[in-house]
Amino acid sequence: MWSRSRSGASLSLGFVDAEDALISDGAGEMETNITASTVLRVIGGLPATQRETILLVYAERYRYAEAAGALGAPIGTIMSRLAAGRAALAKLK
Amino acid sequence: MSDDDAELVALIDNELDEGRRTALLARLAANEGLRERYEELRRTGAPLGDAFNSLLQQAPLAGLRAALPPAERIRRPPTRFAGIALRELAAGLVIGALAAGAALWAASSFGLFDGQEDWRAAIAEYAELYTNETFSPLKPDAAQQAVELKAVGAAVGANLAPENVALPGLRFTSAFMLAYDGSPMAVMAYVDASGAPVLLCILANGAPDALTESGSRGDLSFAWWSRNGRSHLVIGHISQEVAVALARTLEKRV
Repeated sequence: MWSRSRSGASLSLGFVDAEDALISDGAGEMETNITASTVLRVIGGLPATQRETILLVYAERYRYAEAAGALGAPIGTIMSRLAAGRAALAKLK
Repeated sequence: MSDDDAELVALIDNELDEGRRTALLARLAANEGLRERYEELRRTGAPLGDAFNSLLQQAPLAGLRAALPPAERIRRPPTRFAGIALRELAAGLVIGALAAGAALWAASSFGLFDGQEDWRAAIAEYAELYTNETFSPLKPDAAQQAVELKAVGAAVGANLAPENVALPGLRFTSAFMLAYDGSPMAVMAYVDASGAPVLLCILANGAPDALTESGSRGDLSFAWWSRNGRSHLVIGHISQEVAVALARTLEKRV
């Protein structure tokens, strides 16, 4: 489930519930959903700061500067968090 | 995670400022390992986008909306994960032109390839990166130029003999291959007396014949036409009238 942090702007994602939400209706969707589930599991395993940054930028499509403002972090930190997340995903083969 | 990952990801996300982007593009053009890392990171975009899209499509929307801070939600068009595969870039690099290839690849990464006609926009994007110093130092001999022209001409099925591509007031410098959307594209680079670049691009895309049209984008003017299954574009920091005149000259020869 998506939940609001005490700041109101910083989001976190409960990935167990997210996986529960990914229910496939047919074989055609199953592969996509397995991939999505795997991706979400990887993201769910990241530190909370990386997770919330990825969520803002790639799910909510915040620009880096907007994410930096929302999270109170320098843009360089936003960049590092996103890179860490995508590097973790890049290890999936 | 490598030291370069943050900048590579920012490039993929189109978040680098002009100076850092240009510097990184130059490094990418010269560093195969860095390009491979770019590609690894770029490939994570689609699964990442799919994962969030699946979640958003299947999760209870009412619950999501209730959980999100409405005033801070910013919806954006789905242009994030649009990087081009570097293998397409590599396939296009028949003759040198790493800088041009990198620029084309950069343009393609920024969402310029959404429509069949956007190849012109893509070319305009990388043409803007060229300066008076890009091609003017190149002074290959005529034999080398003829070899380049023959090679790129064969790739797009056109007779690009030196006399066919010669243009008044412009010095031909080099020819190289790029690719757009799987179709080979020959590029002939010229400079005027000041060194300003002018490009003739020929895309073997099977397009139906079309008469010359012209347009401009910022300081760039261009003219284009299609014939014999090939689309042609003349583009440079020239007037629109000059672009059309060059096109009229070329359309009789190539």
